[in-house]
Amino acid sequence: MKENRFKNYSMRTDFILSILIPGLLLLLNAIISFILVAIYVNSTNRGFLIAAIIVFSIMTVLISVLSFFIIKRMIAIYYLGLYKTTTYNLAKLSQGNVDIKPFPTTEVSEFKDLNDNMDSFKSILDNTLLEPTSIDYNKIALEYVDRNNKVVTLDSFRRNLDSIIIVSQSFRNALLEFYYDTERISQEDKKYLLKAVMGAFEHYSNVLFIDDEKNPSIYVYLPDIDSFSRIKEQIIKIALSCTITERSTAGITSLPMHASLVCYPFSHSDEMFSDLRYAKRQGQLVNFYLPNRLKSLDSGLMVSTSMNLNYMTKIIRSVDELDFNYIHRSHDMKVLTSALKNISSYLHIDHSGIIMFDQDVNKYRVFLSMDDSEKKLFKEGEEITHDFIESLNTCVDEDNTYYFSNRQNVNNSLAAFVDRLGISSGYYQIIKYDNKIIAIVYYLNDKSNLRISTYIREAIYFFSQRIATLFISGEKDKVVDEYMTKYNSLAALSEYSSYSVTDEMNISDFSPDLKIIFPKIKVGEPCYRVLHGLDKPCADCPMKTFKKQLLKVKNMDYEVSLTLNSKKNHNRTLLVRHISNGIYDTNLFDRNYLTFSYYALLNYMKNLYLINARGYILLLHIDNIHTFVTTQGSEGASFVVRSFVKNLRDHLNVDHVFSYNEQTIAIVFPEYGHVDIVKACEKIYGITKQHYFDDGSDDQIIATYLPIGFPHGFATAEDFLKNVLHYYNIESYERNKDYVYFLESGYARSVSHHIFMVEVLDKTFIEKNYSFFYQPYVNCSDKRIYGAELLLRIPDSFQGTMLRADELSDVAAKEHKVDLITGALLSTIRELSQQYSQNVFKINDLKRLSINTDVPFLENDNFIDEIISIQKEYKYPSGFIGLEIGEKEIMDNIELVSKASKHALQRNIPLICDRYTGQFVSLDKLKDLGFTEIKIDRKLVFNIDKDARRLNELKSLMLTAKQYGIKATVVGVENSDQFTLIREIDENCFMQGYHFYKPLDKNGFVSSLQISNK
Amino acid sequence: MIAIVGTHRDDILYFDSIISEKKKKMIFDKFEVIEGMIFNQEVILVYDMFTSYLSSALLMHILDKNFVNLVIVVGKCKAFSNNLKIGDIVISHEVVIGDVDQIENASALLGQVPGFSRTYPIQLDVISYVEDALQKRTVTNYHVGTYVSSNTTYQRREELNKIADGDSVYGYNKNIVLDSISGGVAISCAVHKIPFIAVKVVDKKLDDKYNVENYLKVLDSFTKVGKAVVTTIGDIGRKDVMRIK
Repeated sequence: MKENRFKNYSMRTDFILSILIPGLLLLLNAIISFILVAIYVNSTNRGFLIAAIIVFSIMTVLISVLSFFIIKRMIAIYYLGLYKTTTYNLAKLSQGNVDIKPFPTTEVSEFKDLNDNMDSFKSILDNTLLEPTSIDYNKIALEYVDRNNKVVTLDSFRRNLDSIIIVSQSFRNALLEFYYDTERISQEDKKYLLKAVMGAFEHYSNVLFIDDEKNPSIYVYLPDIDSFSRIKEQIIKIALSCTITERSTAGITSLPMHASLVCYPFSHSDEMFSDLRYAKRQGQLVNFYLPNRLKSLDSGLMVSTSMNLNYMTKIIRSVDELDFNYIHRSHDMKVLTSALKNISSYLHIDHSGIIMFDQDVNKYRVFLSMDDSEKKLFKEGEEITHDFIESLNTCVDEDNTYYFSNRQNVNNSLAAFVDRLGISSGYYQIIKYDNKIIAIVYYLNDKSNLRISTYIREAIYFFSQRIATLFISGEKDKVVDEYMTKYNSLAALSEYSSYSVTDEMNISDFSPDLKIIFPKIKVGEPCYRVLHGLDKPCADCPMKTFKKQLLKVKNMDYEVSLTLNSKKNHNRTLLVRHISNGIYDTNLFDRNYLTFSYYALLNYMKNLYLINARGYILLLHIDNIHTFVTTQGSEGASFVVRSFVKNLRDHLNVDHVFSYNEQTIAIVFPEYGHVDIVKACEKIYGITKQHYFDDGSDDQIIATYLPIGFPHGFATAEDFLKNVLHYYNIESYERNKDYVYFLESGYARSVSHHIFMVEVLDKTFIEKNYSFFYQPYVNCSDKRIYGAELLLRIPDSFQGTMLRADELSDVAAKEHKVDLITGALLSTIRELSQQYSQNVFKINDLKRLSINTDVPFLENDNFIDEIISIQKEYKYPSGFIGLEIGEKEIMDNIELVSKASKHALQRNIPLICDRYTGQFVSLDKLKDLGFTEIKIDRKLVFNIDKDARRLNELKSLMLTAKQYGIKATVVGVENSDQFTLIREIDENCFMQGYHFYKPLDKNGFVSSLQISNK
Repeated sequence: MIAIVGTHRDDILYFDSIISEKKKKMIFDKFEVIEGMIFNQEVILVYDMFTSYLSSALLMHILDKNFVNLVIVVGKCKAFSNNLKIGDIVISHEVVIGDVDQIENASALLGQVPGFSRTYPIQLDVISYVEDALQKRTVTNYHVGTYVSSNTTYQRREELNKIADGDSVYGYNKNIVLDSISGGVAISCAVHKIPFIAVKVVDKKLDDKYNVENYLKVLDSFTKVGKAVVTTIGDIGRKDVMRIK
């Protein structure tokens, strides 16, 4: 009580006391000193004088000390405490930082009041969104071309794009281009387009319209967009009224308006225009391109801001306490409710909540609803119609979110619902599981607009994602529960039970029906004790011996196996099966390999015979099964075969896998021909080489592949299977080689594509069993042959096809046999040159021979030097022999190409990018690497005469290449229409295709050259 | 004079690009119309018509002030009948109004504006002119069907539950399309006893999502409609006289 009496007093009292106490002491000192001096004067007693001096001195010292402490205290409280703290806080607030400090705690009651006010002020700041200052382009040197300062020139916009983005970098800044697919449009049409575009976007704040004076394009810069879906809708609205017409000899044709969009921060400021070009190349009416690149923070000015980052952290961290645990669901819901409430108050949201899907009744209901206004938007438990949910789903962007800052920015399909509810702005996020909407988190405002920066949006997105995780985990729990119930019910109905054990052999779980056989079974107890009544692990435990264990309980026989284990050394699940009289039932299912049995094969073949089907049965004899039995035990061997069969089904996508006998698997391929079966064998070979054990033991299957065609002249399935058995037993084939034997034709080869190619490579180049074809390419302007591409042809006699030269060169590179191919190539060119260099090539002005190469060729210095020597020897012009490399190969080996290409470039050997689509390597990069020509992939040329969009795509690519100074060859020109269309795009390009020449042999090429270029 | 009415500028674009002696005019300081000549016939192009309220009000004024002998409604419509595909051309056989219910007030039929008939049939002569032109000038499949006009832009089939039963609307069940202006045009023409016809292109089917790429097909059909309508205008405007020597 005594303390309290002194603790709180006002500032006024403090000041009065600080002056009054020293003043009174001073007065007292003067009075006492005066009285003592007066007495001394009257009595002349020196004692009074001395007393007066002493009293005066003591009192003066006392007053001085007191004054010193009072001044020190005043400085501490009012200067350092009040003034300095206020200055510090003001400086912090001016920087947008709400980390302010309280005033010092003193006995002065006003300080306590100040701190109380400070706390409430701080809590307001903590829950307040700091909106960035308004966007101001005044300091940016933009050149306006209209009186309202809305339309700017393209040049000034491009020059100042960095500065423009800096002033609005907290938001999504979209750059749109509206254009027509023509060279030029009339001024009237352009004005109309500008008017339509301005009409659609003028309500956006700080929008800039950019007039491209040289091209039929209008750009729009939107510094703060809400949702992409709304922008798309607005673009479509413009597209529906901005078509123009073009008169030609064919009559009046309509040219629809196209639009493309890119957006910062998806595109960096310096990439916006190049990304816009890429978007345009997609050739649709509306093209969006939002690349997913991650640039380094120090690579530019744009991403250096930290505005609102502290708020992001607060939002994301608010759900840190979520457990995502089924058991702690009620705790999670409390955290979630409180976090949602805080975020709503922080964003000043009127209504927030969660709508959830109730699977049992197939209805959406409001799960959580919080209202910060008198109006109650939804009641908890209220049903939400599927129509409404569908409308919400229609509008969302790719990240399943939708944001509308005001009513004008709402998508049409949602507008009716929004108006019905009386909503002005909002944000919602749809949570999907298995492509089904399971929840929606919403934040909606009645009348006020909702303006949130892109950072806060991302934070809310992550917040909602965490909520999504909570709901999805709940959904998964439900599914797992359902599966468990089904699994237990099925187990109870069958003759099987199962249990799992830990490393210490303690039971971790078991199927409920096992309790009937072993009443003492309990989780946590050792299996050997409760199942076998032993004190130590069983000697014949399947996990030790990898063999089945036999049990006898109450005169019943049981077999314990590892059949359910999907991974041998990790899972410890044991399958218990009741054996009736010790005899296995005849079944359509093989219980050891968990696949169809031989009986099922018989039935299946009978069915195929009924419908007169043709095809192949492939017997896969596992040659090394005995090795598995020896090293891994019978259970280990079964595990390998079981896993292999499962992989066959998963990866080969075949259902009809049968157990033929203990070491042979049969697969039926209806409607397969001999080429298909070879390909299937190659795929199976890949599966056999997978590993099944983690301990590094040798577990790769070595097999012999025996395909036998059906019906093969046999009238019934039984007769055919007898014949199969006959073939199987003659054993006129070598094992342990991974070979396929076509027993009917005697053809045999390795099922490893690589080994097969190596064998072909050796055989072909030693026996010189190869040939070269010449694919001419022509000048577009006069159809004269400009050059020819040398095509290596190696026949596959069995398949009746040609082997792919690129695959062959890959194999050659891996086996260090590139010299074989390069040698063949160079000797062919030399041979050709000896015969024709002077009398045909020079006379007929052949400018180029190009060779299909790969990166390993480039690395081979001898190869490059040999090319130069041929060029010199036969006096070919520089760049006569060119090297073609596929775009994909360049991308896969970009570093190698970058190094190796220098060698070729130094010697003026032209590098040509083959099969170019633009998907993997940009023209910019190609130019950097030194490529001077591209061969445009035939995919891009296909159907250009029938599909205007494809033509546009090709046109765009050709024109861009031209801008980069890269010469284009169009491959795959098949008819005169395509030729005419391409010629209209660029008369100086080259063309290659069946419309001009098919691949020709040497004589055909020479005579075509003489006729064409005479 | 022939009036050509569309909802968007693109609807009348073909006519705008071939019209001669083109003059732009404002009506009520709000609506821009284009006047000119096609095949020596006076033509007025009216666009930016959203809803039958507007089309009725504006047409009433235009028909009052000009000697109009035919009104042609062009543009896009939505298919209700499943046989219609995007890009199909549909010629109106009759127009019915889809959002009028005055049963309570005037013992009228559902869809009937009291004092008018419920159905606004198109003169067969006019249909045959357009059909002939489509057959002569284009290679295209067209349909003759029923236009259900309302001020609402319907997106889903169930929104029509009040007037539709299964595949039929007011008992019509063949080639039914929906639009938003032909009802207003029909009323104005009925008041002035002027023939009219609607020739529109299907740009979306009910319940389907709108795909902007389909607009290319629609534009292609617009050109065909444009050619057919221009031929119709030429045919109507012919002043050939048979002379007996």
